Amino acid sequence: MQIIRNQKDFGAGLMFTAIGLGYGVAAIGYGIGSPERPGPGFFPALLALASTGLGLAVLSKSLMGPRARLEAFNPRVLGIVVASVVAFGLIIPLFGMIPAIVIAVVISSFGTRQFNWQRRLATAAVLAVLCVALFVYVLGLPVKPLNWELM
Amino acid sequence: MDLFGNLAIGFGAILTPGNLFYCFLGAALGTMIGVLPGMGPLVTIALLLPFTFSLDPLSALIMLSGIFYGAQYGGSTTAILVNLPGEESSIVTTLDGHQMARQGRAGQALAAAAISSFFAGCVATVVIGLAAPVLSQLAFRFGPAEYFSLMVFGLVASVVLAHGSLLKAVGMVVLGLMLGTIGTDIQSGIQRYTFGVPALADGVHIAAIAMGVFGIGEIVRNLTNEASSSGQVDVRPVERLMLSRDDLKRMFAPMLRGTLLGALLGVLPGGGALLASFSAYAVEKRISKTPEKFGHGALEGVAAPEAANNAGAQTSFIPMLTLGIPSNPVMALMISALIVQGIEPGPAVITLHPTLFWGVIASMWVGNLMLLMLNLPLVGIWVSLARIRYCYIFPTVVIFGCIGIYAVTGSAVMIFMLAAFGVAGYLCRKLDCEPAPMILGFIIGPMMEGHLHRALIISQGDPTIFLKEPVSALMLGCAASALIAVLLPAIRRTRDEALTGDES
Repeated sequence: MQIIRNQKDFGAGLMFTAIGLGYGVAAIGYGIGSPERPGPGFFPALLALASTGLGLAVLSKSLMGPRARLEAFNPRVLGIVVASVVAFGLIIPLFGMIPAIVIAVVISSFGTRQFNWQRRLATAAVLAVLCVALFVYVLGLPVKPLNWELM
Repeated sequence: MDLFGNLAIGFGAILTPGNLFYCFLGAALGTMIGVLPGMGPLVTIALLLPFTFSLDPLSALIMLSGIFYGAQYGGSTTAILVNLPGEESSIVTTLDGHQMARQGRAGQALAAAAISSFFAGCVATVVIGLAAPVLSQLAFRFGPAEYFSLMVFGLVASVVLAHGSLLKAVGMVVLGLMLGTIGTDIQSGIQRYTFGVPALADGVHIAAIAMGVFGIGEIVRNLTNEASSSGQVDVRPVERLMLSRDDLKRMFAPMLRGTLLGALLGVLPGGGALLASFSAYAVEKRISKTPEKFGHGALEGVAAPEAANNAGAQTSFIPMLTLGIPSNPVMALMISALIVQGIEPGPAVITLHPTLFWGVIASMWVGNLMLLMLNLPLVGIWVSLARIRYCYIFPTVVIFGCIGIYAVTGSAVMIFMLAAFGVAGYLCRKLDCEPAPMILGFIIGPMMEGHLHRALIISQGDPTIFLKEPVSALMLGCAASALIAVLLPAIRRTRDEALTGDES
């Protein structure tokens, strides 16, 4: 991979080009129309052109200039935070707010070393009580604290 | 053109118990998040945006703007006492402010910061009151071609003033414009880029994008850096809050210059508080008779940037209120708050909703007064907040974000979008693509498409209409010259220097 001098630019260029092409194909499907009568795909087609063009420019730039390496990814922390969000989204429509909060907090707490199990559960409990009080009783949001039917 | 009459409308609208409460709540929340480690106004506003939909538009906007300028105050408190800039725009304040604190002059530094911020806030309120009606009047004559070109100019300018690669920043704007097209097309009624998911018919919720890209991004960055930061904060004691007459005399001119510079830079797209505080500091250092004192506890080095960041934060409301164009991501969130309330942002807001328009402006002055009273006497309470450990903050942010998005969309799909944008934001940062321009593109996208279509239909498909209309051509010319200017090596170097700040 000696030919790629700037790995960050190469990745970004690839991203803009790929998104531009995929987005453009769909735009054609929506109907581009003509400048006199622009269709729903007209503006998207322009954006697709722009994105693809910029992507190719960034790609060609990545073959010149100073070298830059892509830093190592650290997917652990990201994975934990994203997993807690996804868990929340899966649980709340089925079982309600309290189980969603408890599980999301427990998952996210693994993102730092500052928690032991006692602290983890205490934080989850405090947040659950606080959120139910604030969002359900004070603000009156239409979210059930617990969904009994499914339990 | 009657400023006092208009401000009277504004004060009349805000001096109700309810609105004063929301103003206070916003200012207090803003100070709090400014002090809390690892939380910024952008994420907080994204977090609270879904909960403001049930408020009336004025209360919602008063509270959200209170958070924005309140954060500028809170950020400087920790910058001075703990050497931790709570906000990006307080970074320069750490240079001299913390030095003053180490010399036992923490109280004077805090007082100088608060007084400068308050002074700048008062001036900026009047500037908005004077400039906004003029700009709305002008914008009222704009047709679709002018609007389209103005939006192009706004987006280009925000990219030019952002740091990092220009090409990639433009690319992120285009990605944002693309995200804006997701959902039901207003003109044809067909669904675009929804992949058959019904929850996407109304488009992606801005809170999901902002929370995902910035909120999750911030959390992951803070948790990854956790090992390197000590966790223990060393807070300097505050003895005397009083400034001597001599101090006041010394800081008056820097404060005034900082305010003017900040007010000017705040209006520019992409400018805002950060650029304002850096430039104000650089200017003071350059014109000072004793530049060697800067970095070693110069009072001027606190007063000028603090005045500038507050003035800049407030005048960045001008393009948002008068043209409907966001100059930074926070303003993009404000615009979406207006849209959800059924108010179309643009020059008509001032005539159609005068109480809203002038109420927000009046609330800034009231909010600044509240902040002055909240910050100086209660500084001890705020500082103790800085000791809260981040391990309790980030789960709360995650939970509040999810609940807000779920409550407002009623569907878990948008929570999954939040997670997806978290991953996307992480990847973009790894590729050195700054995500802030994307938010601007996302908000402007649908308006831009509408104006483009209308302009083309009027001109019967002739794209040269954008160059034939003089105002439109001027805007496009400005946009083009801004782009060319950045690409010129000499100017590029000064831009990089100005944006990284003079930290020597």
